[in-house]
Amino acid sequence: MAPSAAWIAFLAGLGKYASQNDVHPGVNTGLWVANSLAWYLYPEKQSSIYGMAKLSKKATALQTVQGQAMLSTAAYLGALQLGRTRAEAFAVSWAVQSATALRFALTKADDVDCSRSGVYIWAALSAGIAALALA
Amino acid sequence: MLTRFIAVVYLAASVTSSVNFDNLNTAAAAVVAANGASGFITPSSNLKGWGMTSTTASEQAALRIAATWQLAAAAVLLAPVESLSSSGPYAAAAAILLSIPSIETIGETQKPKANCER
Repeated sequence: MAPSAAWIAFLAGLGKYASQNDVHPGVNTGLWVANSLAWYLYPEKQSSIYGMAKLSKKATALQTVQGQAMLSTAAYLGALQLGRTRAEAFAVSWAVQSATALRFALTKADDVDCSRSGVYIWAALSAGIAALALA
Repeated sequence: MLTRFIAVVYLAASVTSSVNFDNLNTAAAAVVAANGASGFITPSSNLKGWGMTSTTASEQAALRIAATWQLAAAAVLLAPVESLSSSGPYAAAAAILLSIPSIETIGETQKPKANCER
């Protein structure tokens, strides 16, 4: 509870400050990138920080889904940060979504009784959306 | 499932009617938001849709947390680029706030059960 409350207070304060002052966009992007990588790559370690240690395999896999959502957002913000257009950043974000879904299907889906075909469809849909943005 | 279906139909309709980036962005954000809303409101049904028919309370709570970040992702996609320095942190703060009950649920399921036997 304490780490969550601290994050909420910090992020709400940052959001409020950034709405009234000039804050470098890299601050927001950096926070998204660091946290998304932490949740995507080390879900068990992150869980223990928030008092959710010793989760089942399925719950841990679902936390990488949380990491996927954060990572695709971080990719969008990162691409904008690097001077890409909104459409290009959107395409990067959906390409990340597609790649992470594909990785989930190949490495985790069977372990957690998740329908591989459903995840493949999501990966294909995401790749299609990325391609459409660049069309 | 129904929300996801509606969102995908909306996506297909907007793409086929006119492929312009604003339509695509709105439609794609709607898909993400619908999936997030479905996972947050009915995690058990959402997981069944992915083939996971048997899930525990903490697994459903883990999905609810993931769903809050999908809602945040949709909010960021829809936010004007010039306001992302403030809307990004606000979206993340809202996601963490919405996650707290699920974090507590998972924490509770991991506490040792009291031994009531005499």
